[in-house]
Amino acid sequence: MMGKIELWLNIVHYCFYKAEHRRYYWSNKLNPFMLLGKIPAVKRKFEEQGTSHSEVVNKVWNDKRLGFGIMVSGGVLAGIMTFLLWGLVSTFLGFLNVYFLVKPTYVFAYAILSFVLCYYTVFKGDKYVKYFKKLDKRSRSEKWRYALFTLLFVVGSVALWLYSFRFLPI
Amino acid sequence: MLVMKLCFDKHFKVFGLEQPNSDNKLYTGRWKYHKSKALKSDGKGNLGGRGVKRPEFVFDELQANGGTTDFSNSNHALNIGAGIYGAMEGLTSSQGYWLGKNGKYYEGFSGRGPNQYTGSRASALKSANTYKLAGKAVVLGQVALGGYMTYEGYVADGGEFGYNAQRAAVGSAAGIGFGLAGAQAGAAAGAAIGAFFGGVGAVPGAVIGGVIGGFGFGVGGSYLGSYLGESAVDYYHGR
Repeated sequence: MMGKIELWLNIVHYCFYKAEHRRYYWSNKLNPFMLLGKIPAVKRKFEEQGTSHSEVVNKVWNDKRLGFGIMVSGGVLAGIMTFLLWGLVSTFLGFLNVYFLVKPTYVFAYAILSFVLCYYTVFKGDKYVKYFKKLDKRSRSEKWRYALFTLLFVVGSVALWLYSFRFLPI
Repeated sequence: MLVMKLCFDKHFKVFGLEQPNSDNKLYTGRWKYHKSKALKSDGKGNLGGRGVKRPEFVFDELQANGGTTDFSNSNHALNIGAGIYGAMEGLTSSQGYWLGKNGKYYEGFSGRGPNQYTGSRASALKSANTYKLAGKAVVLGQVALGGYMTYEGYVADGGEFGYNAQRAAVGSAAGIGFGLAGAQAGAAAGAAIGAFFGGVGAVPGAVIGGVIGGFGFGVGGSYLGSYLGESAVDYYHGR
């Protein structure tokens, strides 16, 4: 059971990372600061080091261990898990006619639980890197299937979270 | 809550006070009873004897701010946390370049090093991993805080997705989106500036500049995004 959860959380994390990676490349075309790399003095400085401005910026963003992209996808994964947990608890108790106002401490508890779950299944010891290598080798159709699953997972979690709002104690 | 609302109505009716929540919104708080000489019995047995308990409804802090809690301090803390994380992560191990105890940068996670001059590579990477986790936690914090503010807005709107909920949701989403865009712009700007600095070679300086610039612009973008998102909802509602 835990193995299955780990696999699917890593698949969702992989899809988030790939989506973020794609967003980065598309939006970077509109990034005016990328033009700084074309200033002769800057260009020369980078050439002296045998690299280029765009190469360094891409490394800062896309490094699989320490880049911004992996940090964003990891944080969003834990965030979506928080919404899922919040939605599940409130909806389940709501159907049992237990209504309560959600307080910041409850949200904090949901966030901690989600982060711990993600930590042990995805982040610990860069476990996701192993899954990334494995998932990169999958066929295109399988990757599309994973992307669709991720989309449904995100939409479902957010929809459940919003649905749980109706169980207000009024 | 229904019981409390009924009691609320009843008490105000009994004591002839005007009920302030005639807008049918959900108010939270607690009843506080204290003895009052002013409300002693009129002698006809209407309100009990001397020292009758006079109820007072103490509103939660939430009600004191138009129905929503001011989370700007939490947001500041998260943004400052992000900034500190960015600086520390950049200074200990930047995207594959790691800082040795001797103050020099080394590239890669395998191969050359460590030695008596560099200190332990593992300890540098361990520190970086801690900051990396902190960075993820900061993103999670911003998502969860945005979620809670939206929920609170929904409650303040009396159980519908009205002005407060929309303002919180749009402000949070725009804050995260603009923060991301700002970080991307900052990474490019910081890398270009950082190329002219750095201890050993320009590349680590550029990478550190990219990380720090990314976080600096990310924090600024987040503020700008929240402000623009909230202003857009204010404009839409004519406020």
